[in-house]
Amino acid sequence: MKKYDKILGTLLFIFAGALYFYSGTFPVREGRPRVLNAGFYPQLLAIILAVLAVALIIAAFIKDYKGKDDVEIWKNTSSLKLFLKTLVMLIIYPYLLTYLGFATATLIFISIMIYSLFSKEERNIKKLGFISLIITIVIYLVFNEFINIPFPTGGLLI
Amino acid sequence: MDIYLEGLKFFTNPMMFMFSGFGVLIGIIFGSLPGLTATMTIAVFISFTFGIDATLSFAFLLGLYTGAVYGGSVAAILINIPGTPNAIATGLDGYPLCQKGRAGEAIGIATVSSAIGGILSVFVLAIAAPMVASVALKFSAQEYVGITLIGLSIIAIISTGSMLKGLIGGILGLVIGVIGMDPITNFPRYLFGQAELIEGVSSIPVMIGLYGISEMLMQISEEEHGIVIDQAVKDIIPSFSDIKRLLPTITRSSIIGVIIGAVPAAGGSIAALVAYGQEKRFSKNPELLGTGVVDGIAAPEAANNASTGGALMPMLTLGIPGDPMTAVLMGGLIMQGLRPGPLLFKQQMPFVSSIFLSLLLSVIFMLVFGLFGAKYFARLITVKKQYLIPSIMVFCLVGSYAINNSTFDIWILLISGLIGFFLRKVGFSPAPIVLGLILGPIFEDNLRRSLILADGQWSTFLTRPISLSFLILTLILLFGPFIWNLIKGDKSTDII
Repeated sequence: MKKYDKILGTLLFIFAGALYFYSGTFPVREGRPRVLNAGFYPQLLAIILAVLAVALIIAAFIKDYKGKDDVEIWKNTSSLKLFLKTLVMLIIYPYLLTYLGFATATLIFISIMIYSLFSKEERNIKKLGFISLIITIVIYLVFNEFINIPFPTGGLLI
Repeated sequence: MDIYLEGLKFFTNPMMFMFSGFGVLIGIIFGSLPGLTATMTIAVFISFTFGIDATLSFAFLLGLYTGAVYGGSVAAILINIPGTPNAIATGLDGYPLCQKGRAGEAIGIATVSSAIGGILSVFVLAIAAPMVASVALKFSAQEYVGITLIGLSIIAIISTGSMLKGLIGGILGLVIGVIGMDPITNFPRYLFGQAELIEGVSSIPVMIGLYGISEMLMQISEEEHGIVIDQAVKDIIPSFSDIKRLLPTITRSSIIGVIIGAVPAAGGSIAALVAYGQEKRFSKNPELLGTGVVDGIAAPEAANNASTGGALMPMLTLGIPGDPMTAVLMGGLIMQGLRPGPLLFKQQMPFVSSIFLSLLLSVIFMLVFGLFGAKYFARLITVKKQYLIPSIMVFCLVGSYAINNSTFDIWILLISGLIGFFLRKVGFSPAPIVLGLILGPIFEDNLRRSLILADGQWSTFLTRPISLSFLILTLILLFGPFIWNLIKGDKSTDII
């Protein structure tokens, strides 16, 4: 975890610096206590965050690790690909929701996600398609009919 | 007595029973599914209570809370994978007992112990909370600064990962809370042209993102394991003689649970482990604990459900959550326009007493569903994650959208989820971030108000005895373990 702690500590330090300097551009009330200024509190937080970020970097250098640094963000390339696919689907969902409506967007999302999560050997298109449809219908009934959330209906009016 | 009866009028509405029961049922289902924590369950469903009457909403959320805390024990007993961190200690004897073919008995004991612990905690909460609130009414802005610092410090220490990362998480939460209009000058801060940020970042999508989306992304990035349960769950309802024999264990553990639950940021998992440890001390056959004895199930289960009432106490009376779950519940209260703290007791006592009664009702529902529905919940554990993960993601997406009917909140959710995923991978816990976000506005408001009244003098926090005590306690909490380790030469504690 040392590598990631150093990277994160550096990023947090830069972020704290940006926060401090940007907060300094807020209006200042001359002749009044600093606490009245809009930038006072964010600058205070920025200073504390910068100190903690430096502490994180220092800790990464001096910490006594017993084993090797074994943090894996993803187990292998296929789990990274699956992660990225999921991310794309999550980003697309709001657009699908707006333009195609809740039911269609949810069916597309659920179908593609379930298909992607099963391995090639376990995939049974008919079964997966049927289960995706059932899940979508249940979710649609619960949210649209039972809880009455006014979702966009999109071009297909569902 | 009248103050408690005021809440009874809400229970003339049959919807209260429906919402409470439904909440418990969903809580048990989600709590029993490994990987779906009680906190995540509450975070995912909280947004659906927006727009519903506050008493109904909280009856549902308390049902979720009670059900999910109990539900984790079902998976712990059947497959040795706790559904929630609160159930870790339950599995120590629950799983071995299951392996002896007595899974039903284990679940039955867990259910009854949880119910007794839960009922005791409701009574303690109902009696003690108004007293604590009356003391807290005398607090001023300086004391509230101290209390929020204590809450942030404790949760930084208790959260998984190092204390330093917990503190950084808390500060990040406070920073997120800065976005929006400055409360003193009304100057817009960090809006970056987004009108939706005028009232700040909504805490609910952030919570759902940090707990819901990030957890699902974590599960996607790890290997799948198929789950098989190879015995029928039967003979669940325990005998009266068993319960009578276990009463001393249950009572002792319940008291432990209430006390530890009341410590801000402590929570059910710690209460359960401490109760289990105490059971080993008091047991006539301590060597049997861990081999599959019902005492080893009764103790942690009583404690972890007893902690629910205890954890609600600091949240309701001081506005400081007792654990990550109550931090999320606090978000639910704020979403309803209610501010937890002593003023809630002064201005909304009927609502507060309805909370006590709702908690009691949820424990009764948990007892009934647990005893008569356990064999069905057991089957749910085997539902494939390939179906669960996309479904829960849709719940998260929909839940965020439902707050303001805005896709902007979905973007907040996704950003929080992605950041939460990477932070959790490198050892951060979501709890300090969520607590920082929720407490941030309170902290800033009280801090600046204190300094304005004292003409900018920071000594105002040192000249008031209670405020000074809170600050000293904060310093002890933050630096105490570090100094203690230096003295002992012990490198085992993960401070940095």
